[in-house]
Amino acid sequence: MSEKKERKLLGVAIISMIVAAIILSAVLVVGVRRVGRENSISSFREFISARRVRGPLPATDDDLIRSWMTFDYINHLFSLPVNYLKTELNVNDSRYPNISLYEYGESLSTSTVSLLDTVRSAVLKATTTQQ
Amino acid sequence: MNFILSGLLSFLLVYKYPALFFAVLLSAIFLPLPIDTTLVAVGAFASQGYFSVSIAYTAAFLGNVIGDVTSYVIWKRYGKAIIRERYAKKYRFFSKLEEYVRKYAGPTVFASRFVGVFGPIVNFLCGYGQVRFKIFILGSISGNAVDTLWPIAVGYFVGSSWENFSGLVGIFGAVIALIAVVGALIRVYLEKK
Repeated sequence: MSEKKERKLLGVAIISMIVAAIILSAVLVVGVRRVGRENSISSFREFISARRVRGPLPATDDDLIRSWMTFDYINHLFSLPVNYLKTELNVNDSRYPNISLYEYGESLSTSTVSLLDTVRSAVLKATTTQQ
Repeated sequence: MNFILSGLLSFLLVYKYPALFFAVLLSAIFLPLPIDTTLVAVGAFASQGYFSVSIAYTAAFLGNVIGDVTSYVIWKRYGKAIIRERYAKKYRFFSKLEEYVRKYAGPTVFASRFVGVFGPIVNFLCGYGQVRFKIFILGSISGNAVDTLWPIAVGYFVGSSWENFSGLVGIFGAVIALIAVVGALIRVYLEKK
């Protein structure tokens, strides 16, 4: 490779890497801002001090229920009997328990927010009954 | 949480490991999916006993490597025909880029695994630049082994609180890639001197 060609190649390499460094710095700034928004540092402190035990969650964690979760996952998460939510919410969908709350809400034309509230209440009720 | 991530998580909860494998595979080839955040969630599912951590890691790792290889093979075979005739002859930048990628292929492939958007671009450049398969696969395997492991480990450690930590994913990847890029810049600068 001639010296001139080598120099040009190195020039391209340096420019490409500077562009990559700028993009990565932007990703870094966005990430740091997001961490601030999510309050990750205080969440981490809370997480460490709470020393969470792995396994079923207590009913007080019902605020962790999200619309993307499936009935099967919620049953597992809170250690509920497989058909508990089916009976409690009167679910007739054949896809139960492998259907997300969002999809189920869509099929019923129910708002996701009200469905989430109903599921949370059912979970709370089950855990209270178990106690 | 955005619509794509919510859909992806529901898909994972229903179809588990095959869904994880295909989501990661498509992301490695071309689809810009939030895979790092998804892997943190998978780690959390594993900590709750809903997923097996070893099977999830294997599925994601294989998806990443197979996706990278697929993308590399496609661009190696058809890249020249598509790009060279239309652009490379007109713009000399392409031929210079080709030479550069060939020279620094291994570290470039390794570092690019840590920032989602760079992966498919580097796969294209390696295929198009006819980088040796042995070098490409070594960079892909070593990069993906680490890049797949750490988000799952973070999710496994923080468990149900994973949503509060998803912002750390981008930072960690960007820091590693930035270190690699700055290191490469210093190396190139020293070579130039």
